[in-house]
Amino acid sequence: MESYLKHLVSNQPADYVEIRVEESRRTRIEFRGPTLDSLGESVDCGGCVRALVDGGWGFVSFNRLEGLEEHVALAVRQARLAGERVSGRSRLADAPVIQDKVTAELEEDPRQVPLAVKKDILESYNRQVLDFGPPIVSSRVVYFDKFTRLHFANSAGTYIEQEKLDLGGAVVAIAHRDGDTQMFSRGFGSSNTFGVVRGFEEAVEDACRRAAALIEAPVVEAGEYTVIVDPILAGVFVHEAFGHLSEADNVYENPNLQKVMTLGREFGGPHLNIYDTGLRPGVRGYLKYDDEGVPTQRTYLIKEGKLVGRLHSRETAGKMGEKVTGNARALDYRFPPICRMRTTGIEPGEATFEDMLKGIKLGVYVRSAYGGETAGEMFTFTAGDARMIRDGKLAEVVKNVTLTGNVFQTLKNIDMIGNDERIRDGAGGCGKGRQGPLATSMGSPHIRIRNVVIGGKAR
Amino acid sequence: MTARAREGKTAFAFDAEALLDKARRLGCSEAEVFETGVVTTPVSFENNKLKSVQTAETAVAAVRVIKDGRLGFATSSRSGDTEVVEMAVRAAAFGPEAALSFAAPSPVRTDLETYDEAVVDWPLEEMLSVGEELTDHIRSFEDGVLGGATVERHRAYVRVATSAGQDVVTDGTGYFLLASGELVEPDNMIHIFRFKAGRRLDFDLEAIKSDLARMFRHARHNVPFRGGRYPVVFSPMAAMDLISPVAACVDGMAVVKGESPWRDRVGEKLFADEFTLHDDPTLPWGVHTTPFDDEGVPTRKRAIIDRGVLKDFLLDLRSGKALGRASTGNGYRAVPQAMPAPRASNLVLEPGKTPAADLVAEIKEGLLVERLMGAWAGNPYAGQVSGNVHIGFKIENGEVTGRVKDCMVSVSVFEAFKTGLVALGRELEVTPDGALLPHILLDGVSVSTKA
Repeated sequence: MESYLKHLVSNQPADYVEIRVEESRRTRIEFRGPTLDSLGESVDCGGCVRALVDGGWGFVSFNRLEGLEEHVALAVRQARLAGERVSGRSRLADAPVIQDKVTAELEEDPRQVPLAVKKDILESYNRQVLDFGPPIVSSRVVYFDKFTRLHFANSAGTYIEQEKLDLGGAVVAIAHRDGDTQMFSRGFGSSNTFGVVRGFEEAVEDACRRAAALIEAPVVEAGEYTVIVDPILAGVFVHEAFGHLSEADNVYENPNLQKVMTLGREFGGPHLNIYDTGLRPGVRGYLKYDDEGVPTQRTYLIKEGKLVGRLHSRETAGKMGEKVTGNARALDYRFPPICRMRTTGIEPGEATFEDMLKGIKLGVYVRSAYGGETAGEMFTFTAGDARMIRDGKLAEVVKNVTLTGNVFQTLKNIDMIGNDERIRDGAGGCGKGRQGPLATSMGSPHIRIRNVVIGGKAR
Repeated sequence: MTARAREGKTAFAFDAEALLDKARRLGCSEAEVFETGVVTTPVSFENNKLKSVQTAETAVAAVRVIKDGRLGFATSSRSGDTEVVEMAVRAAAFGPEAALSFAAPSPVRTDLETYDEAVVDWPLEEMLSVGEELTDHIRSFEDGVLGGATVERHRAYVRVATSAGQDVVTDGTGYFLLASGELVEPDNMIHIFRFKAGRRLDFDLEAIKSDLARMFRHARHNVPFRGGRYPVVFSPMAAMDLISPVAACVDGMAVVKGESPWRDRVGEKLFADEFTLHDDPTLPWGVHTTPFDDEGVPTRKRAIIDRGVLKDFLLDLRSGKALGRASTGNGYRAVPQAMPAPRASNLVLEPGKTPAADLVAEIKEGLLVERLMGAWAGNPYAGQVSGNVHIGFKIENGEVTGRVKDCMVSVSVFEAFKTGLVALGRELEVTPDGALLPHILLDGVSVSTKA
């Protein structure tokens, strides 16, 4: 394979050519209520060629691995067609030429765990939810593991073989009473072990208790509050609201956004440090090389409150005169790589949880994330659950807590950063364009934010 | 399937007969092969210029088997693969009880309009010109506006073959157009877009261009808005967020599992008279038009809600069996790698008589919502839809006066369609989900804004 792929991409009439060939195997198990909804395996096998001519890209993806020469020729033809129209210049940032074979170093290999065992473990969690009793009426348990072998070669001489494991899942407890349905989900994920699936009983119990508590809880009163955000929701916030803005493909050809995202601009207090890293082992966002064959790294986006970096592909780094960061990722061979996150988070600070509670007369402690969406500078997130803070103390549970605001304002309003930190993994992933869900992780300590708009009760 | 049906069309990547035969030899009592192949050619423009020309060709086979009363499922994208049958058999050993039988031979319609050779032959040069025209138009709105566009053509086939003898195939074509404009100011980002999709090249480029221009003009200036209860016009795209809870509640599996609150309410009047919702897989050139579903069951047009009365649910083979009924031909796979589940084909909400523009003209003070964000995060079975207004405009004395931001809209959909439905627009538009919806005007919608 190695010499064949290297041969295919060399000496082509193009500024740059790369080829990826990929084979993956995936297992998926899902319980919905008392019954096993599905259990299945899939094989995915295919490849793609990407070519660059005069600033225009051609991209061809396929399942049939015969006739690769024709795919390469078509990609080059398409790139030429695009290049003729834009009559631009190809500019890719320098990247090291790599020769490497990466084998997955696994603690407990899910491929060695019999399907029957996987099913039994998940079934036991499902039973635990259903046996919890009222008001828990139903459950959902999902699990997947995916093992990928990836071959990559480019016209600069890089050749990389990578093995990758991605594994994730969630247990959801669903409560119902008098026409009201509430749910709470606990997730797990890993890039190196099936072990995260084991010993999840306490988390399952927690999901049940919290779903049950939500049924009893009143709907939060809409308004502006000081909020303490738990590490999970803070991680989602930093990923959704700031991480996506840092993806350089949004910025590199947008002069106005470049002004907003100028390196050195102050986005928060000196306690604020935001990073993205491919190097954190074990989490779903771990990655040694991106899908352009560039080694990943730990990249600071914000250091001591100031913007210091962004997430680059070779093209965006080349056009902006910055260095590659190894953030060009593709969901699979069906897609070209684009700027994406890996593990994104806020670095821990010094505040304790008690410090944060102090001085809050009326506030909300928002925990976990049910969902979220951002558009430009606007964001909306729904918390998994929440508790009121009254006179510096945690008070009653409230539900239907949705946070909304402007990301720049909100970053400035972060007045305390906790000394604890958690990385969150789950069953889902990140979506961008049509490419999702992509394995990413997010993490943060507890943070405190002033003046957050919470929409709750329809007034 | 007869060879003639494949004339001039994509060849199959898998040998369905061989897969069914292998399942039989491995001791399966029943088997089903679903195969789909798609060739997609998108050209994309970013930041005012052409970025890439692409071709993606993919084919996937999904096999379901029943062995010793249990259901096994597996999929493969390796061309010509037959190992997928062993994988399905392996999964069956631990699979759920097979409470279904795969489709029996049954004739399907051959006269539905799904395939237009003109799409397949749509020259790349013309696609590039369309993208160029759109981005040039968008960038002309104002200095600093960045235009983007995706222009795509695709052709696809679906084949379903079962051990009971059903063997059906359908071919389809389609296009997809997305045009967007973006303007970034230090504390204000404007993002507008229009979307079109269809089975044949029936888009009106001039109409798309004038829609974009109008939307940009409206979005250019922000205006303050005070919270309260207002009449709100939802564009077809935003209206989909309101229709989603209805679709979730008629999902046969949600009915079987007791998640839907409507299990015992068929025949009841739930909504206002004006509300009639069909599932129409026969719609000429509809995005989801198909003679059979992804389980090989013939489809037909059916009323879901007729003049406010709940008529029926959407059933696939499994949910149908659980309710002691036949499938309604609504077993669809969200992606080829997923098991079939109840889903609508083309959801069509009967339009009203008022032109959409006149809905706005009748409002003294209210909102026109083009798109909500985060509205999907609510609990669909409770009919609660609450979202941040991503693209929305203030209406004063029948005129759009500017864009509203930092504003949340909350609707109790089931209540609103009963007592708050003022009017439906006359024009139907395809939503990104492939539904055909008019503008919807609701009264008394709760709107909250920053204090």
